Amino acid sequence: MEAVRNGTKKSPKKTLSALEAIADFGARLFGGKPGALMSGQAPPEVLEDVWVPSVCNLTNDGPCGIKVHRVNGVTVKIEGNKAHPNNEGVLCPKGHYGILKMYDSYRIKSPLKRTNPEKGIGVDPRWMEISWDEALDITAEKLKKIYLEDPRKLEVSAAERGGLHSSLVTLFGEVIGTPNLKFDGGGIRCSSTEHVHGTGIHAAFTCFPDIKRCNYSIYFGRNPMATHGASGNKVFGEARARGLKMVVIDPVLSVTAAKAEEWIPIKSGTDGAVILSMINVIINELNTYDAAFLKQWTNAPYLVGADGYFLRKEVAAGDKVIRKPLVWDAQDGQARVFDDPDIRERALLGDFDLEGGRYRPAFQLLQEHVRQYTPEWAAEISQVPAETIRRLSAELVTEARIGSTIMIDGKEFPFRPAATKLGRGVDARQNSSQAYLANEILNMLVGNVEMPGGHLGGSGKYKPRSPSDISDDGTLKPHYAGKWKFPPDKIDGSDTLFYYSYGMPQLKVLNILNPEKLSFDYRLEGMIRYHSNGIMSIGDHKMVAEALKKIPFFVSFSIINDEMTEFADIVLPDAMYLERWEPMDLTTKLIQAGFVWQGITLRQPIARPLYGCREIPDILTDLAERMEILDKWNMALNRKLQLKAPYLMAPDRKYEWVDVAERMVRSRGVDWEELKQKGAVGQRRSDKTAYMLYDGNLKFRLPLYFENLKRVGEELKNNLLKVGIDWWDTSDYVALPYWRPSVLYSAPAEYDMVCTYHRSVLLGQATTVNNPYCIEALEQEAYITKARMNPAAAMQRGIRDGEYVYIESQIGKVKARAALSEGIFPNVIAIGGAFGQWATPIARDLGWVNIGAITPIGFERTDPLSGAMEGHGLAVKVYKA
Amino acid sequence: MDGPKELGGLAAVRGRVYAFLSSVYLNIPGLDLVENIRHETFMSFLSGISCDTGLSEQMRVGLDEVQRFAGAVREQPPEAVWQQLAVDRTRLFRGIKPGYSPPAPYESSYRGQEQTVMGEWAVSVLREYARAGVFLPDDRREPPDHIGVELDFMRFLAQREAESWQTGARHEAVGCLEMEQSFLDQHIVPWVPVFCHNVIDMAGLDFYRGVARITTSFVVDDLERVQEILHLLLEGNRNGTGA
Repeated sequence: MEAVRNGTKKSPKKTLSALEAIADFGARLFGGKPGALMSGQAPPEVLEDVWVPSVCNLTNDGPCGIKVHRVNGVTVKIEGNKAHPNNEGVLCPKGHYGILKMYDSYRIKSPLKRTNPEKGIGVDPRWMEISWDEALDITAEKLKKIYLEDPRKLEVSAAERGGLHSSLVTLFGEVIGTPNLKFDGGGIRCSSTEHVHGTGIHAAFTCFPDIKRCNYSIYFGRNPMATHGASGNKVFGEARARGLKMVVIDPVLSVTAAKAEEWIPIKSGTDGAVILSMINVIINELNTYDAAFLKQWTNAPYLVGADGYFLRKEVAAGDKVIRKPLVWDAQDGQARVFDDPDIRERALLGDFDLEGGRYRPAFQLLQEHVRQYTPEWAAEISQVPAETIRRLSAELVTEARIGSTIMIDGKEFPFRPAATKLGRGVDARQNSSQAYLANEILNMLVGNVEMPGGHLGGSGKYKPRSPSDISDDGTLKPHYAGKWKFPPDKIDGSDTLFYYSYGMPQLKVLNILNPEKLSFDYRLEGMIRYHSNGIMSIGDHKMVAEALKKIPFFVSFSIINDEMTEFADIVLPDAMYLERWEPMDLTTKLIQAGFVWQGITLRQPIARPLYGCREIPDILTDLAERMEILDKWNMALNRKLQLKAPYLMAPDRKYEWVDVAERMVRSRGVDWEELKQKGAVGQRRSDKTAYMLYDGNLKFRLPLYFENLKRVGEELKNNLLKVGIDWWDTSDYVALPYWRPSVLYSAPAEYDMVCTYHRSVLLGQATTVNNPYCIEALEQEAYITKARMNPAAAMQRGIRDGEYVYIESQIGKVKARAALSEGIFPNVIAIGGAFGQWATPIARDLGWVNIGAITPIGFERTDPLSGAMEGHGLAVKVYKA
Repeated sequence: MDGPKELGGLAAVRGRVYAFLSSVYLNIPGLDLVENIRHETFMSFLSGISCDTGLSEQMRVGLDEVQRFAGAVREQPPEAVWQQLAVDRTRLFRGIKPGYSPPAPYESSYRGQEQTVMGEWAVSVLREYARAGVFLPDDRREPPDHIGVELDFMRFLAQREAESWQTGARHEAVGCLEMEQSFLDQHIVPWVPVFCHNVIDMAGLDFYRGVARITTSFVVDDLERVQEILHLLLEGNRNGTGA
């Protein structure tokens, strides 16, 4: 035989000798490692064409049922599951695009170890692939050292949208014993003020108008049609078809505003002024409010002394003596304990001399307090015309139909089909608590809180179960209240600086960088991160990066090489959502206020995890075993997953996650095989169960007068002064909300514009910015990838549509393409809220910008009540690039 | 035309080369690789084979690059060399992010959409594997169109061909050759050289640059080789002089 190649004949012997040389070369280098393929008794060829029911949950309103089409082992299509009660077949684009997330060639495929000791933005970690055993050994050794020395030295951050796996990572942190459980949320992305206060008022993490029955809604800084996904928008669509009217007050003509009856532009960060003014109009001008509701369901009638505290009386409660507030019985002409069954008429107004002091009902104080907030005053601040404020107030009162009732499943309820709702545009502010509390009062005035048609607690809703959930004054105990401690245990310092405590990641950053400020007696030595991307979502990227560099050991559970992961020392690739077992509660989140269905739904794998990825609970179990805390881990899982005999896990045995998931389902009395087949098993609940205030077993009252805040604020101030902290602002701990101007406007005059951000339904709550289909769709949106600005502001600066501009804050600048629109307040510039990545595959090459890059972090930019950060608006100057 | 023995010998050697190449892309290198690279006999072996006149120019350049690397790291601590190799391999072969890594070495990513795996090419190679009676074991989670798996399939076919020639099963041997030609032509050659070109461009170390050059040179030449053998066998059949 003669070999003929490239026109040159080669002798067969030479060819053979050359190949032998190459084969020898290879053998000398790599030896005889076994190949990938096996021969012999091959498994029968899989010929299948099946639809597997599973769960999406990539957006706020999940979990949404999906059906995934698998043909011969390959996932080829995802559709909404029409049989799933939560979404009835609708699915947002993110859900449809899930296949690209599953089959992303840039997923992390195996454990990685950092070899470059230097860390920083854009610094190559110089990953080396390592085995699972090596990665787990390294991680377990580091974590065990922290566990044995001082668990506080560990930060655990898990923030994947809504899934069970994310909460198990947090549970793992709890088992280790750290109080530091979130390096995300609460920054520029989160409605943390609502989370903090919502639990004490609504017994819920979030609140929402009762879309099913509401007829009139006012949204301040909220864009639900962009953030709720298809199932939420389906509910909205049905409500709109039924006649729901929507008013959106926002600096930006958002997606929601574009669909609303009315968009009212407002100066950024001034919503609180408008809300306080509406309270004034309703009480002092219209003099129309739901007095019966206020008397029965709030603390509005409680008598308040000159010191600002309730007049109380000691009463026996079992073997204890408690101090209950008094109200004035207008018919009997005497003060009685607020819940005295013999009270005939609780007075809301008046001035009473009692026990040597002068006392007035809380409502009387409110009436007097809000007189200063006239519509003309609010108009000056907010640029919302005074007549508009008056009109909205009147519409709210009228649409609330005070006094009307509705029959629901055989029971008569008060019917208040009107509500106002704040969004992150108000919540993610340094002055957000005052606005939030004012908004709660506004809703209480029309009697709609926790009533049909009104303002309801949404996700994370829990029903007060025992009297211990209720304070002596009849209101709910705050869920996030902590015990004061100095020096702080929590790295965010919240146990020293706040009464409430819910993730304050920007303060973690500050404290990691300057632990001396709060006299910390430990330093972080380790961090576990799961799906959160704090460096993108907290603010000031460079400052967050410096903080991350201070943490000696960082393990990232991640499916892609994103910004946080590039700071990691070890990367452990977990399964993506189509490769997991994840039973979840069958309750929708925000829009439907957590009622409708009760039961369980199952996320089940369409295929085994690709590459070398593994489900996170199995990874955590491996770590627990290596750390010799398997018993604690198993017991914690028993508790968390509410396992019951005979499905309880033994402390000394290692379980595979799929087994645990099955135990969880069976513990709830649900048949595992049936659930796998159907995707969801549950029953429809009566709508009545949503209105817990009226229909609940345990009665409680709503705080219209925040006496407790005033008290704990004074305690906090005293505690702080005792340890020499006089720089922290405690002036927001007041019983009645007041107008607090935003720190946003304290910047030097040259920063004459406000930069804010907005989201798309294609993004938000899920890692989709690296999904090519999402990117392609985003590119079709008019503004999301650009910097939207008003033509008048652009003209002043010589900027034309499509030109590049610099948006410069006091800490840096970003460059974006201007898109001119009348749909934005004149001094505001708006950019998309999920871009600016430098590491995430695909996203890093888009060239779109992120507000976090130019958002300063500081104690002075933090809401002193809730810890929310001034992240939704920042002072900038804008000029042509 | 050579007889069955020679053809069997050639197939066996080709199988060994495929086994080596498959191993490069599938396995995490250990310290033994460094020891092998730095071993004196390997250096002298390299000097010897680069003079082999049967080698293509591309192959020779690849070997020179490996030799250059081996010389450069000879005095370095083994751990440091191992780390350098592991880092370069991870960046080049594991698809970390665009611009930093070449697209990950899956046929679907090169012939379909860059960002996706498990496309039509993965399904197609699975079908080929099934036809040949081989399969990916359960613990192997790489998509079936990973470069290492496809090269391992060629290893399997070449070895089976060699065994067939050795046992006189000419029909089976020719069948293997036809499958090899088809798989190289339909799957490997359309994309592996493109991937190797990326590696050659982006490699930080001469070692993987050289290995990529050896890979591309080998698979392209091997297609021609297999085509020629089949052609000659066919001609031999016509002339009655077949092996």
